[in-house]
Amino acid sequence: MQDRSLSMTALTTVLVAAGCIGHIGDRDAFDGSGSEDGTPPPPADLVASAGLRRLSIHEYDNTIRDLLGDDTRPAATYLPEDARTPFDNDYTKQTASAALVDGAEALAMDVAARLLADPARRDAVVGCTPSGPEDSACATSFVESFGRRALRRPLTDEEVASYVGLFGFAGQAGDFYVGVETTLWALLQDPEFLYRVEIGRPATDGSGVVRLDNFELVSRMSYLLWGSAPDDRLLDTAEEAEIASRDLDAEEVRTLAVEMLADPRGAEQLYRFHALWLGFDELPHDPALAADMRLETAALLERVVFEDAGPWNDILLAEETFLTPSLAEHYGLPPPASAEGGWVPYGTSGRRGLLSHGTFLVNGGKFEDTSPVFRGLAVRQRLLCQTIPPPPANVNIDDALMSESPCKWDQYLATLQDGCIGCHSQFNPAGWGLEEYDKQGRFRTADPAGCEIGEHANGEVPGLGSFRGPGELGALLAPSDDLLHCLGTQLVRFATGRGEPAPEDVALAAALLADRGADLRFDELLLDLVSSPTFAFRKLEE
Amino acid sequence: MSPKLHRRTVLRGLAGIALALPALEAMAPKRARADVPGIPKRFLATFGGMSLATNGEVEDQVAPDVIGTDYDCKLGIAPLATAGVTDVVSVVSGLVIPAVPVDQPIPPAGRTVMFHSQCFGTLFSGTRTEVMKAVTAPSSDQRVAEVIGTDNKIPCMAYRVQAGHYGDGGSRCDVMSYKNTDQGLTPVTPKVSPGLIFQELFDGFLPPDADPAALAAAELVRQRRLSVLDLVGAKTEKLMSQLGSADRMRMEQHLDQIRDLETRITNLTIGGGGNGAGCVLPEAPNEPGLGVAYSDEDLRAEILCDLIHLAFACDLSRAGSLMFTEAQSSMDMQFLVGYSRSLHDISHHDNLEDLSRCVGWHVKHFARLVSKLRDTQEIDGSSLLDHCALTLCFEGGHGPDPQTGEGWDTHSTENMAVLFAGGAGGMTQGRHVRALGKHPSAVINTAMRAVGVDTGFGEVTDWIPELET
Repeated sequence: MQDRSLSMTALTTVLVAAGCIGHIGDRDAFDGSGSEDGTPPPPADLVASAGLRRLSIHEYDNTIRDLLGDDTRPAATYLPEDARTPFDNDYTKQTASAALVDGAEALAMDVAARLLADPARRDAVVGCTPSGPEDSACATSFVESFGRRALRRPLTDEEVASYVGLFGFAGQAGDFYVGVETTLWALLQDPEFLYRVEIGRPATDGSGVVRLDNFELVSRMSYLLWGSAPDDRLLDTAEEAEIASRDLDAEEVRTLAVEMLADPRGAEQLYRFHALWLGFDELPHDPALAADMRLETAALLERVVFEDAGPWNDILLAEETFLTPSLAEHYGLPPPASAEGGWVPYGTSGRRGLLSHGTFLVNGGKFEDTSPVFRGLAVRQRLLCQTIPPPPANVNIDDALMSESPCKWDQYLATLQDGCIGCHSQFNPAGWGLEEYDKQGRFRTADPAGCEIGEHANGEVPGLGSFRGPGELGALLAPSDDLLHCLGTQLVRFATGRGEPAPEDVALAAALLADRGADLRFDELLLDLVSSPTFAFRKLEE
Repeated sequence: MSPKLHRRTVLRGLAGIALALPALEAMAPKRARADVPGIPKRFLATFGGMSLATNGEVEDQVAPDVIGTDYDCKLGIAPLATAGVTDVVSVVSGLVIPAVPVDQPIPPAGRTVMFHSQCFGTLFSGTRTEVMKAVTAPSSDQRVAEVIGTDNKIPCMAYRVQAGHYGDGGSRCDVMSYKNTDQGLTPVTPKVSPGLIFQELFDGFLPPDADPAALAAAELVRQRRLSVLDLVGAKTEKLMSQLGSADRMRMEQHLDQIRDLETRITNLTIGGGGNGAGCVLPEAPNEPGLGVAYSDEDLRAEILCDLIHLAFACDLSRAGSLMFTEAQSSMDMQFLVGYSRSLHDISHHDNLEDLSRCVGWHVKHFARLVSKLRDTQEIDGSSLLDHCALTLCFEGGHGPDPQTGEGWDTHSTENMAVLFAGGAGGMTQGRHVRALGKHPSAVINTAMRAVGVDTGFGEVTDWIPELET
C-alpha cells in the first residue's frame, strides 16, 4: 500500500508531461517518506516542524464560548482578518502587529465586561461567592480553576500568586469583581492563551524533535477536532498522566478522540475543515439562502461521516440531499416532506453529492457569473491538490476577455490561444463541465447572454475522464487516488497550521492513507492521525 | 455626520466650542494664509482600489474639462460640488505610471503590464515594483510621520475602511502603510474597527464635567491595564527563553508591540490630551456589523473620517493613511448602485455611470473630511485645513492597453487622477491641473513637501508646481 501511495498515478504522469501541473508539496515531497523498498521510515522523518500558532479568529471565538459561555463571536471585530491559504490557521501568515496587540487588549476588555454584566455567567466562571473585595481564598480558587482552562495547563504557584496579586485592585475599588475583571484581562492577553505553545520534552537523541507534554497533546487534539480549547475532562486526563509521569498512549488518545468526535463541536469542525478546504467558508449570498446551503452540506457530512460511518467519498456520490423548502425551490428540486427540511432524492436531476451543493458551486464565481477557468482551477487545486504555475509573465491576466460574440464560450476561446492552451486545456474543461450550474447552484441551459450552453458543458478532467455536471464529476473523482491524497494532505495542513506543506507533512499524509483503501472513513482518518506515532511530536523550526 | 458622533462635549479646560465657519463662497482659488509658526502641519494619504473608467470608454467622469479654477464637476467628483469644497480641493489629471512589457527593465517608479499586482507598490512607496505585489520602500505617511509625527500620541495613523477582504481572489492588497523597523521594511496592518481606533486616539480622555471620582476611576483603569501588560510582558519574556529561535522571533515581535502599548498607556494624560481649538471628545462609536461582502463601509468611512478629523483637530496625530478600499476590491457596492456587484467587477462592467458613482463614493467621504477640516478653527482663527495636505489616489486610470497600445482599458495607469486638498505650506487650492505624463506619486510628493518633508518620495522627486504657486 505504501508503494501505491508513493507511485505517480496515470493522471499525474499526463499532467507532468503537459509541463503544467504539479502537486502541493511536490519539490521533494515524496522523498521524505522512506526508501523505495517500502520499509517504514523512522518517525523523525515524519515529524512535522511546527511553529507557535496564534488562535485564529474562529478558534478565539470558540474558546471564549467554551470557557466563558460568551457566544457573541466578537474576535473578528477587533483582530486583523486571518489569511486563508486555504485554511485560516496558517501560522506562517500570522504577524504580531500593533493592530493585533491593541486589538487583543480591547477584545479582552470587551469579553470581560460582558461576563461581569451577566451575574449568572460570571458566578459560574468564578465558582465561589466572595466574602469581601479581597477574599483571597475565592480569588485563588478562581485563578487556579479558570487559569488552567485559559492557559490549558495548571498554573504554577508563582503564577497563581501573580494573578491573585491583581486582586489588590479589587481592594482599591472595593469590589471583588474588579479583581476578576483584571485577571481576565491578563489571562486573555497571555501569550499562552493567544498562542498555542508547544514546548514539550526534548528527545534525547538530539534530533531536534520534542515530545509534547500531555497538556500540549490534548490541546493539539482539541484545536484539531473541536477548533476550541480542551475541556476540564481532557485537562484532567492530561493531568493524571503528568502526575503519573507517563505519556498518554496511542490507545488512550484514540479513545479520547472517539468521544470528542461525538461532541457537537466535532461535527462543527468537520464542516469547517471541508468549508475552508473546498472554498465555501464564506457564502456571498442572501443570509437565509447561505444558511440553508450550509445546513445542506453539514447534514450530508454528518450523515456520511458520523451517522452512516461510510466511506468518506460517499459525500461525492450521495443520491439525496437535505433541503429546506426554500432551498428546494431555489434549486428547482422537489420540496422536502417537512417544512423544517428533509432529505430529497436527486432522481434524474443530474445532481449527486457535495459538488452539486450551492456551497461548492460558489467556487469560481466571477463578476455576476461563473468563471470556467476559476471553476476548473478549483477542481484541480482544491480537490486534487495540484499546483498550477502562474500565467506566463507576458500575459496580463487582468485584461478582460474580448470577443465580438456575446457568448461566454466564444469569449473564453481567448484562453486557448497559442501559449495559453498548454495549461488552460488542463483545467478549463473541468470548469466547463459545471457550466450548467450558476454560482448559486441553480441549473441553467443558457449563459447570461442567452447563448445555449449545450455541448460546451461536456467537461473533462484530463487523465481521469469526461463528465457532464457535478454528479458525474463526483463519480469521476470519488475513486481517484489523487483525491484521497489531497484529502490526506489537506488534513495534515489543517492540523499543522502550515500553508506550505513540508516534505514531512506530505509523507505523513501518505503514511496515513497507505493503510486505508479508497473506502477510507473520515473519522478513522482523524483517529489515525491523532493516534499516529508522530502526532505527539514536533520538530523545532530552524 | 455619524449619528454616534453627533452629540459631543467639549474637552475639559477648553473655554469655547469651535464653531463651523461659514462655507467659503469665494470661487477664486484660495491661497492659504502664510504658515503660522506653532501651528502644526498634518498629512493624510488616502486610497481607493479602482480605476476611473470602464473598458472602451475614451473619457472618464473625473477629469474636468476646465483647467484652473471654477472647474466643472462630472459624476465622479460631483460630491466635491455637493460638499462645497471645489475651492479647496484640486484635481490633478493626466497622470501616468510608466508601464513596460515584462521583458523590459522597469523604469523608476514604474511597473510591468501586470495591473493589479503592480500598481499599488509605486503609489504607496514611490518605487518601482520589481516583484509582484511587493512594496519595497516606506510609504508616504510613515516618511512624513518620521519627520513631523514622532512627538504625538499617535505618530502615524494607519486605518482602513473596507472591513474584510471578502473572498479569496484578488491582489490581497490590504495594507498601504509600510515602515522600516528592526525587521526591515514592515507592513503596518491597518486598524479597521472604529472602536479600536477611537480607543487609540481618545484613550484617557474624559468629558470636561467629569468629577474627581470619574478621574480617579479612569486613573485606576490605567493602572490596572499597566499592571496587566507588565505581567503579560514578563510572562512573554520568560516564555521566550524556552522557545526555539523561529518561535522566539515571533514572540519578540509580539512583545515589542506589548511594550509599545504599555508606553502609550503610560504616557496617557487622564482627563485630556487634546489641545486644538476644535478639539472635542466624541462618544465612542458603535461597531457596525461585519458581513461577507459589505460591512456598512459607508458608515465606517464616515466614522473613520470623523475620527481622523478629530485626531488632527486635537493634535493627537499629524500623519496617517486611510485606505478606503483594497486594490482590486471585492467589496459589494449594492448599497450604492442598487444591485449586488463588487467594486472590481463594476470596473469590468461597461457602465461608466455606475463606475463613476463608485469613484464618487470615495470622493464623497474625502470631501466630507475636507469640509470638516475647513470648518474647524485653529487657535489663531485660521482654518485647520490651511495646515493640512491630503491626497486621494486611485489604483488605476484608463487608457490604451499598455501591451498593445490599442483600445481603452480600465486596467491602465494612463490618465490617472489624484485629488489634493489643504493649504499647508501655502499651497494654492481649488484648481484643476492637467499634469500630462507626470507620476501620480508626484502629487503625493507635493503633499509631503507641503508639510515640510522635502526628501523625495521613493524614486519620485517630481512635484506639481502649479499647486505650489
